[in-house]
Amino acid sequence: MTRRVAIVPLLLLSGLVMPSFAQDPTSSSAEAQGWLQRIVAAPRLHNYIGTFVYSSGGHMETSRVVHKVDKEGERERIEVLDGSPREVIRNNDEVRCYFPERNTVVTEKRGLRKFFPALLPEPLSKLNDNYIVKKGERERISDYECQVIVLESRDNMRYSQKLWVDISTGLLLKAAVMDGGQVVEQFVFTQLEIDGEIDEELLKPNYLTKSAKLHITNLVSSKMEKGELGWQVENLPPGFMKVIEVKRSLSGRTTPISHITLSDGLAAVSVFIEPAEEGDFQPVQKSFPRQGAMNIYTRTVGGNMVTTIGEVPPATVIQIGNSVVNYKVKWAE
Amino acid sequence: MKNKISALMDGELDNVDIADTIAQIKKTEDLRNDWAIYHLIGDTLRHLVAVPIDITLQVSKKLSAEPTVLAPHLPSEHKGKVFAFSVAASMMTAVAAVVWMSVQTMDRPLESIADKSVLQAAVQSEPTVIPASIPVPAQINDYLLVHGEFSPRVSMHGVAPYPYIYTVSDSDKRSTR
Repeated sequence: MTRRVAIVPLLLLSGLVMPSFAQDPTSSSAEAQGWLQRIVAAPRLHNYIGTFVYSSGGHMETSRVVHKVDKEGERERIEVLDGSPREVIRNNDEVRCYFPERNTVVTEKRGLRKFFPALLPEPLSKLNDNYIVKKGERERISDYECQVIVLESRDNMRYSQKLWVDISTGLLLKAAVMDGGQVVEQFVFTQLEIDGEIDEELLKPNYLTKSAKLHITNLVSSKMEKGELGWQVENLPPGFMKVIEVKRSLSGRTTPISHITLSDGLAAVSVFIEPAEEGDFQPVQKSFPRQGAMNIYTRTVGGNMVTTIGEVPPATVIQIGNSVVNYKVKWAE
Repeated sequence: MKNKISALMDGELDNVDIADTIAQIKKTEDLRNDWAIYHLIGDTLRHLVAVPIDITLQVSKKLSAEPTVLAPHLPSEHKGKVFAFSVAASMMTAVAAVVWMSVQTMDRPLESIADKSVLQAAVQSEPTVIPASIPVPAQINDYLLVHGEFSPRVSMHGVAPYPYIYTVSDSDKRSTR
């Protein structure tokens, strides 16, 4: 009996009913693309406070989010309610992640996004090369009427995405990453209040930081001209282009790490290169079924550890990771 | 105990815990119910249609009719080259589980890795799936945070890249350079 009672809300939660489409199946709908632009703009226009569930594979986790927009810009606090406490405070471009059990704060300041065109209006044509953007049906999420938008991947080098967008504000209330017909991961608001007043107190971190050992992820980075980094990805999967190459200083490292980001207009893949240390990434002869959308792949090149990460299928991170070459090493050969 | 059931389902328990957890599940009806419910939740979230039938008895009968294998097959050869790590989300108290693949390639890519059949064999083939939990190197959090700036979830959801922020235990932390 328990099963039958439980399955009804779960089926609703998982959005089991797939929308049907009346549009040309191989071309993107201009109206659906307009919805994508609304999604990008909405967080800069609306306050909200709510609870959402993130799930991937068999794992689920609930978080509380407070998001405020005013003359100070965009501020946000996300508190993970399950498992070990974690908290993320965002103040415009500055992000702080609190790990009270580790007595650690990870901070970063974002400055590169202005170089990154993903999901801004201009590169939508590029998006169309790799995804079919379609408008789906209307569904209700957390008591809000939502428009379903589907980004269907044109090949198997990237995942498809399904988005549920609040019709009146454009806020994203549910998102699912799909591999074929299967949900790889998803997040969904289970409770949400939009455009209410938000008390400043709700944006303050719960955890004291004075005694915390500050683990600083310093994202002060220097943008490099093409080829300056000495590293290159030679065999890009179809549809992916290099977005940026930078040197970054991370905490605890005397040597800056090299970072290249690639994008297909939606999915991003980052390649990090730093000198390998003895004992780094000791491989273990075990393999596991994939869970979640994020895949990570490492290999060593000329004494360097090359780590490729991104929300793309395993074959894509592996192809990119295997295509990373060091020009200095190559020329020396 | 519920955490252990969840971890067992995700293949994250070691052998001792597996035996212990299965023994407990055998003994306690509530735990058997939890087991069923967790599977139902997992199936539903993965969009698999749940079929309300109980096949436990049939499976048990089939299993008892199976011959006992005294010399199990050795794992396939490619395992020595391709390694996929899973960040056990519940064990690491992380939000997302990630496949961690690492290849020791003597400074050059393994051509065969790009071969999708090999990849799929490595990632999906059942006999090579071994329950374990692999510690995540501490720098992966830094990488994920950095990557978050370019991730569509951040651009679109207007949220920080929290799903991929791991809790790394002190013993896993990398020595400071």
